[in-house]
Amino acid sequence: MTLFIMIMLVLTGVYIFGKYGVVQNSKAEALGLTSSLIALIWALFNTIWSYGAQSIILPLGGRSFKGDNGPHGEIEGSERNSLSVEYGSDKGGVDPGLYSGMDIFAVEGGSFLSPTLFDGLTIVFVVLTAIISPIAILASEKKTEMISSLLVVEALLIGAFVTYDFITFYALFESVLIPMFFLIGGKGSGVSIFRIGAAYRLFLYTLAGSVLMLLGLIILYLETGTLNWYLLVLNSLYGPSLGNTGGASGVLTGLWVFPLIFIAFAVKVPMIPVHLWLPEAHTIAPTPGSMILAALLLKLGGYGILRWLLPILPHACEFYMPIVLLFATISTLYACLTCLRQIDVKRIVAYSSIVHMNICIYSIFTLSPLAIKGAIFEMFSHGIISTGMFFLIGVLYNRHDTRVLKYFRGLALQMPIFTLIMFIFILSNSAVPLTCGFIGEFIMLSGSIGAFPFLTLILTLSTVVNAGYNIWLFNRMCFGGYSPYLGNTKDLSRKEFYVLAPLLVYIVILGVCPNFLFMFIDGGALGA
Amino acid sequence: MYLLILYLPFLSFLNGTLFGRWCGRKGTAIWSCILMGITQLISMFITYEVSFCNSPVYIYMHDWLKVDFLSVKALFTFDTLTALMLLVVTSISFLVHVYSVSYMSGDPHLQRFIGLLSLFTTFMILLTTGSNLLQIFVGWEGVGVVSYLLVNFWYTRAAANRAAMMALLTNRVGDWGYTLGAFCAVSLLGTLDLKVLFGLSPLLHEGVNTVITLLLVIGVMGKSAQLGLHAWLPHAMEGPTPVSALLHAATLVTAGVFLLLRISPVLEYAPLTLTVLTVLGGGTAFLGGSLGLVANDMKRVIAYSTCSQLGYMVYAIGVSAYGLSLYHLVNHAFFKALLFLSAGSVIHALGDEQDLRKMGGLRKVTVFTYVMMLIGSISLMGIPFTTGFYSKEVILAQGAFSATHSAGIGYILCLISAGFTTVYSVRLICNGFFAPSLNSKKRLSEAHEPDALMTIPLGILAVLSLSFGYLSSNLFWGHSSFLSGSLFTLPKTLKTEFWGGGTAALFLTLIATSLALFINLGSVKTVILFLFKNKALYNLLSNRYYFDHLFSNGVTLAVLSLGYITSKELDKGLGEYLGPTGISDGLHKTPEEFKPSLLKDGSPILYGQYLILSILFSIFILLTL
Repeated sequence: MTLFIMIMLVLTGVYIFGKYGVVQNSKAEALGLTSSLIALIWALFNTIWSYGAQSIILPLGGRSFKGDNGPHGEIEGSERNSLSVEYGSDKGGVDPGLYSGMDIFAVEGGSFLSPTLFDGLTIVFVVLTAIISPIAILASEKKTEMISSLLVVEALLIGAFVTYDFITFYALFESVLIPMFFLIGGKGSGVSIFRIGAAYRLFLYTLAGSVLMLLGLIILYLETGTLNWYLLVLNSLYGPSLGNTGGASGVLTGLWVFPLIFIAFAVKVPMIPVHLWLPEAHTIAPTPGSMILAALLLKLGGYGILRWLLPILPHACEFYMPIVLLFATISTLYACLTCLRQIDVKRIVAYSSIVHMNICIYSIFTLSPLAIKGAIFEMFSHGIISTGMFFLIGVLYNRHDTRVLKYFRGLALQMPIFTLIMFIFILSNSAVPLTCGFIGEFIMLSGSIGAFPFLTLILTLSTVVNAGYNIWLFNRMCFGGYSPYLGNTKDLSRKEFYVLAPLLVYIVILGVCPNFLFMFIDGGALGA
Repeated sequence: MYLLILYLPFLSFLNGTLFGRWCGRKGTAIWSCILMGITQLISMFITYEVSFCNSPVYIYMHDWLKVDFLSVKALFTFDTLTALMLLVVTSISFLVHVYSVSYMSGDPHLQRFIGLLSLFTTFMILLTTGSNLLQIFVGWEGVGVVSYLLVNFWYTRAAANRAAMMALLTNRVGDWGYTLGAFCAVSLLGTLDLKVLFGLSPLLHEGVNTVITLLLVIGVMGKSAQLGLHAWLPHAMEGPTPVSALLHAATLVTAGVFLLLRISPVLEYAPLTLTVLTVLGGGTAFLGGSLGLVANDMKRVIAYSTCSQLGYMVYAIGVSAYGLSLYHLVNHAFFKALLFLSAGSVIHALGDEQDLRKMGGLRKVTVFTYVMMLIGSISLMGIPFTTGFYSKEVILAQGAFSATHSAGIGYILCLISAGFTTVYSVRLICNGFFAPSLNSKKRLSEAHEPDALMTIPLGILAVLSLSFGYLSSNLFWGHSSFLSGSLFTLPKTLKTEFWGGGTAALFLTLIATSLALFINLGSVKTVILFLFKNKALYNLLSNRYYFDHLFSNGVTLAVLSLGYITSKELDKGLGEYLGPTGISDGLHKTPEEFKPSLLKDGSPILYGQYLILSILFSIFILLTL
């Protein structure tokens, strides 16, 4: 089914491009929207099904992986499904609840892409992809080549999130770059040399990381003989090579492999020394490109760490934990401070993405279950928030052909609805309660502080600066006297409002009832 | 019934902001005032049922947040503390709603204003009914955000923008402490529920209680404008006057004190925190009082007095007199709202003139406002048998009988502050109403009494400022068990009478009153010569102890210049030099004969291939070694 959806998306993309060429066409938009909405329905259906199926199956199976069930519970669980119980029970500290529910959706092998995985982790990211893509298509102003690129990106991302074959993941992770390259290089703003430059930056940075990951994969394969997620996890638990029972050489291989794979994800997140592609790519990219880039592509890094590093190389994760935490802290504070001094609005949002993603990485690497779950939530909510922020900036760019903050002032006088929506997004971005940004941040940091109190204390200073640049941005743009550089403008059009409305609804719903998402993230909420 | 108190103000908010365009100005005003009136009636009923009939109510709605081991319930608590806070919040809010219908009648955005006031009330009610740290935090941040919008109500004014941002960001520093406290509670105790926290705190190591409460105290410092994070409060007076009355006198700033009262059972097991609180409270009282002496903006004088009265409340908590702190909170809400609203009336009468030096001569023009201001002031000064007297004197008495050194220091600071209070209150009255007018004759002749919508709230508050303290005195101190269900009460309650340790304060007040009267009724020059002969002292005070300079020039500039380093010197400088730009420039500058043939045509994609191949090659070499 996943394969079918992916092929459908790609075919629609190719068809749109082949049929209509490079024009603005509302039929193409309708077609693109339809197929991405079908993908959304499929994702939601799968979500509900997996939830329903779990709640039916679990009471019978009696899977219990909560510590409070005592030793007997664990033994029972391990007899039934050794995988989800055992790992994490040792000091690796990875929570098994995250990866629960996979036995339901582990489709039998066969073709290249069919082995798919639909656990709590996947659900979050697939649903995020499926809800952001139609919005991005709606935001692309009927431009056919943009729509077709977006559809292809969506297909590839869904594939990357559901596969449990590492080499397939690698291939999809890489191939997302191709449509993004065209999106940024072809449809970006500014002179073509800047566009091409930004596209190359994105391409080369990611590629450099990915090459290392490929190398890591090869070593992993040589060591274990498989790249299947299940087998790799089993191997890390029981196997002689990478796991806790392994000899010195196995653990050493893990220590080799970890940095190779991690750098690829760190480029994608991005963490500080390798982040320079992001502000450029974001500033140059067209609005839907920025939306997809911030909402989904950055998540590939976080997802990759959660899926392919934590369970597979738990010991290496623990070994490298301090240095990763240090880098994440530095990245967060660095991006916060840099954000304060930007005058391009898109760069501000781009750097704030770096801030949020790095707090996520920090929390993931504290290896505390609570923090990891918070980080997943935060990634989801950041996907929604940054989509909205980039779209709002796109609205301004369409009207005034500039993104320089100095030209904007007093927008509240001319665009009250825009201001109201911007305010809600700004609040959510600066983690104010009753918005989804707050829940993620609160859970993440409350989970992390137990692991490294003082480092977390320093990290949380970023929340103050975070509020600072957000509210300062809002205040400079929307309040004050009306800027003399801007002519009279219209407020949000109906269509622009329709793009923003679902995002607002997600922000408020997830802020008020976060359990809708935590239910899936937290396997324990369903089973044990 | 109980939850209506949450829904009705929210309905009023929706009505004002979303449908205000269709309801019209009058419709919105009537509708909101009715809704707030009903809210107040409900809160009276709640106070009766919960406090007087002694039946606390807990309403469990659902699990708000359930992840891993952490489970946070949406549970609304109605105990005596909540009920009294609700009474204060809803009654002041109702009166301010009525008042602002008239006060803001000239503003085109009346609907938005009323709506935001209602939203503020909603968040305040959320805050007071919260049963766990997260739920309280929702209200806590919410009131901060609405305060940003209300201070920024006239959003085209740069001063309002600055003040609002300062308020929000200073509070954010406080919130940083609050959230850290909550994080610690989660990681050390695994819960955010206050009842669990209360149950655990006697059994825990003292250090745990101290860490959690001290971090929460940082939040309190931000919200209640305590020493160190107080600088935003006087600036927040840039907002409309009803906002100052509701937010920055009666409710928002007392949220911090409320939090301390709420966690009183934990505080009692954290002696270090209590010590910190006594010094903090005393310091704030002194600071607010002394700065009030030299402020020239009428609203800022009152704002500094708010600051100093908040200091009293925190000091009372520091000496474990939680009931008295709550007592002062309630009393203060009434007389300070009265003061602000009558200040608003003066400002209204004089055509938006706020400078004390330009006022004067209003005694005969606006008699009603004068009387109201006088009542508010004597209540603030603590002249015997007014409302302010009952709580302030008893707090001081309690402080005098406390044994610790820090309580002694705080006591002395509070005592001096009582003198300051008198001096600036008398100065306010004299400058505003008695002194010869320095205003233009045209303005003075146009000065008028407010209309009924403004006078009625003033009258009600005046009656409360005179009588509430006496009427409720037996509930809050002595042997009453009124508060023992919701606050920590020491087993051996000190039976305090007001002729105890408060006597000194009383004497000081009377002396200071006569002194201030003597000074102020003389000419303005004499005052300045008498009080501020020492120029250094005057400069220190009028520069607000250089706290503002510290924040704006020290902290903010430091952060911004760090940002300059990261964005310009690291990101655009070193990063580019060692990264993309550097590599590409380097390749361009390399003479052709040294370039590998692959790179000769200079295409970036080939650089990429070259880069990747070289990395692969080097790593394979490393591996084979």
